[in-house]
Amino acid sequence: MIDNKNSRRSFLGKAAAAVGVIAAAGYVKTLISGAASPTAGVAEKYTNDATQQEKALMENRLVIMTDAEKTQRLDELLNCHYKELS
Amino acid sequence: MSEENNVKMEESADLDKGRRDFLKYVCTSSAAALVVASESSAAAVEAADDSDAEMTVTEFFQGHFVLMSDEEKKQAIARLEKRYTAKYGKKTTVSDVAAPEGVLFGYALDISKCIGCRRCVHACVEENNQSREGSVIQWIQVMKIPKGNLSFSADKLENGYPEKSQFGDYGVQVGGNAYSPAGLTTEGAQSYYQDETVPDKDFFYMPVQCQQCEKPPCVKACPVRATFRDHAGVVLIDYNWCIGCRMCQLACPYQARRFNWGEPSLPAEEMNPKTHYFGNRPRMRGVMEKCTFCVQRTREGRNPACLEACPVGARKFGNLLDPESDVRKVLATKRVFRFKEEYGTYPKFFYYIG
Amino acid sequence: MKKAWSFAKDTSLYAIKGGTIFYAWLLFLFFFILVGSYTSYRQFTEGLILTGATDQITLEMFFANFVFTAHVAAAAVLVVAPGYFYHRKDIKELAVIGEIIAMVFVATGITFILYHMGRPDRLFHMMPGIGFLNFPNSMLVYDTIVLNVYLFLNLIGVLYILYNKYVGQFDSKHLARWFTPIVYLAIAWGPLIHIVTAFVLASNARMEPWATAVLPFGFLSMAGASGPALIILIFLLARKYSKLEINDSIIDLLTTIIAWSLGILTLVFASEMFSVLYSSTEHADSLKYTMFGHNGLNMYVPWFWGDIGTLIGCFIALLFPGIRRSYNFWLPIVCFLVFFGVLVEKPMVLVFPAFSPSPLGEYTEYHVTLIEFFNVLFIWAIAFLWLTLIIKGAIGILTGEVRYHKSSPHKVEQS
Repeated sequence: MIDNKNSRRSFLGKAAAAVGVIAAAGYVKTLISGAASPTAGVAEKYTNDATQQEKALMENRLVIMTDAEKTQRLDELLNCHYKELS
Repeated sequence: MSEENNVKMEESADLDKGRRDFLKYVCTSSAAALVVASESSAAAVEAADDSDAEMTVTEFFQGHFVLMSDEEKKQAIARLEKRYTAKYGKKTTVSDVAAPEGVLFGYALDISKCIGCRRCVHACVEENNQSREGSVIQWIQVMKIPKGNLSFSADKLENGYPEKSQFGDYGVQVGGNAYSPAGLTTEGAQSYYQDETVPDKDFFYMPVQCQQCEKPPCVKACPVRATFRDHAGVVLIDYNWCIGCRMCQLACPYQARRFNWGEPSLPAEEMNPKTHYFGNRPRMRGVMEKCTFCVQRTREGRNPACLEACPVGARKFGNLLDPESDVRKVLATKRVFRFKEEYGTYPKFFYYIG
Repeated sequence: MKKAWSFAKDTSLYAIKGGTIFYAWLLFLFFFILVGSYTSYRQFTEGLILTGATDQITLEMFFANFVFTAHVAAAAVLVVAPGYFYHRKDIKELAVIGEIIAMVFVATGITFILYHMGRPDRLFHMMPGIGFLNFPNSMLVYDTIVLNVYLFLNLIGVLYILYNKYVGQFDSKHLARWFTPIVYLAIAWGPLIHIVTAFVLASNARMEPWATAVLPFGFLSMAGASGPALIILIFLLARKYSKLEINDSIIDLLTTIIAWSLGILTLVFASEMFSVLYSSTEHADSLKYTMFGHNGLNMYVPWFWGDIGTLIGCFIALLFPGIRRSYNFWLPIVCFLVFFGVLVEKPMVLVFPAFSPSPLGEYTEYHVTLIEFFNVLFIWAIAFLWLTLIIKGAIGILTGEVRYHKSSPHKVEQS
């Protein structure tokens, strides 16, 4: 073709570049499989999510009904239950 | 030219021969599978081993269950029973009992009685073999909605925009005291509460599951008709036909459908072995599932698991065509409404204030 | 048969040869193909749980990118149409490039759908005859049919033109009788695939940002912006690196199409925002979430404003003749911004924020996973690889460098 030495050098250059790309791809693959590994990280992520959620929900004041309020509610329900729409 | 024609004819003859061989292979292998399946279903538990727990090629190529002949249905059921028995180590039955004639199933839920205990959620999960660890799938979602009497106060009367000083005494255009959600609205609904005791005085609870619409948008959207409405009114899914495109989940206005994003994890000791083909049989990765009104129970005249678990009796189920059923009585005498009825889906899940 | 075989061989050999930059580009794509093969394997064995999709946000990046490929595929006919409708011979020569872009992008869209499905192994359930197709109800069925037909139409168009030019039998005044109707059908079919894709989204009444009559118009205007942007970039590259002659007037026509499309898109955005935000009903909750965030969930706010700003900025930029004629600097930049602006708008503005609030009032943000991201890059890398190789081969045939009578020295001359 053109220059024997030149074409061999360019071929070697291309081969080196290809090998570099394959090596980089392998490295990225290990990064991804490390990041997406099931066992360790997942439990951590779930507990992290759960604690965040718990924090958000705990900001609501939970108001428990007193016994009087419970009886009142039950009375209203039963009253309604036995009444029928005409 | 004539040479080309001869070549073409030879090629097509080869193809025909290839096709005949393939068909012969498929027929003999499925006939053999038939024989093997009928023999082995009786001795399923003893002969179970790991290879039986995998899906067979014949199961992979089975068609839509509703379109199968009776013989094909029997074979499909036998295959599934064998596979589930091998996988979970329990004698599993997969029923394909049909919906009863002259029945239209309906549900009614009293939101004044619901205390948000979520026993229905867990009973449903125990009955219907959902994925437990990893992906936790729950078909019923209970919304904890603030009652709406929390945010009124006199010093908020002038809050809003534009501010009062800009327009003198003409008052605010947007804002003021009642500018927050109140009553039955999904705005501000919390579905993932973890209260230790229920009910919370300032909230009321509204469980949502598949509303079994009469005009289901999910059925219309499914490209392969894997989800369909049976003649008892229940919207069902053929799990072996679903391709996992999730068009139905896009279409559902009630967020009722659940997808198996990963391989469902169901411990064998928690598995319910009495299953139905369209109901609670264990699903596989990549298919949709949802509440079926416990089709394995209701087609045999029993009540759904959520109804039996409710401690306050807020749930009612029955045949809408029978005027003496609980649901009909509720519809006749109580203040009933449908959830999101503006979508025109005509659900058979009615909410009422008892 | 021999001609067809040498057509394939000569074109392929011509396509893979190139200089350093070309090789570097192929290696760049190859990197993503390598990484993507691993991530695709993970996804197809472990399932969609490796993506960031949830029951609340049920679509992933694959579907959002699929909608984008439908944009570009629909708009590729904008290179074909002027040649045939307005008898511009210079564009007619380049029509095949538009058909190649359409073909590759439709195939890419179908690949994205395959990655979106939970059970791609059950794809045969959708084949008419073997499976059961929910016709005429399901919009996805219509979409599948029109996409495959479009792929087929463009394939026929491309093969006819390139093969006949290759063997030297192409005569634009005496085309085969069946060819011109196929081209006209493909030109009409392009917008059709896009309208059906818009209907696939708009058919869901509960997705309130999508269930709007303006969605097909928004899609078509975004197609008219992003498609020609890519085509201009490809033409500029072809002018620089090959002997293909492309008049400035062709580039100007495409720039005009982009400018008009962005103008209509501005109107579409403005009308959407007005009709939703003026009365500000519950219908507006999703758009307000995208524009302003909700209760601290602000992920989409910068994406929305940045993206709308980019697109409107590009529209204003294209109104200046100086920018439109700056073929070597400003125009490529603007086209690049338009292409990526519309591409990013699909997941970050159209798809993911539209799912909040969910029907039961949940607001969620979508978090892309690495596996999903690299799968998207994998599919794009394959798309651009096909695009590069086929267009390079086509340019070889169009410029006359690849011809049938050029047999290699080793071959024995047939008498």
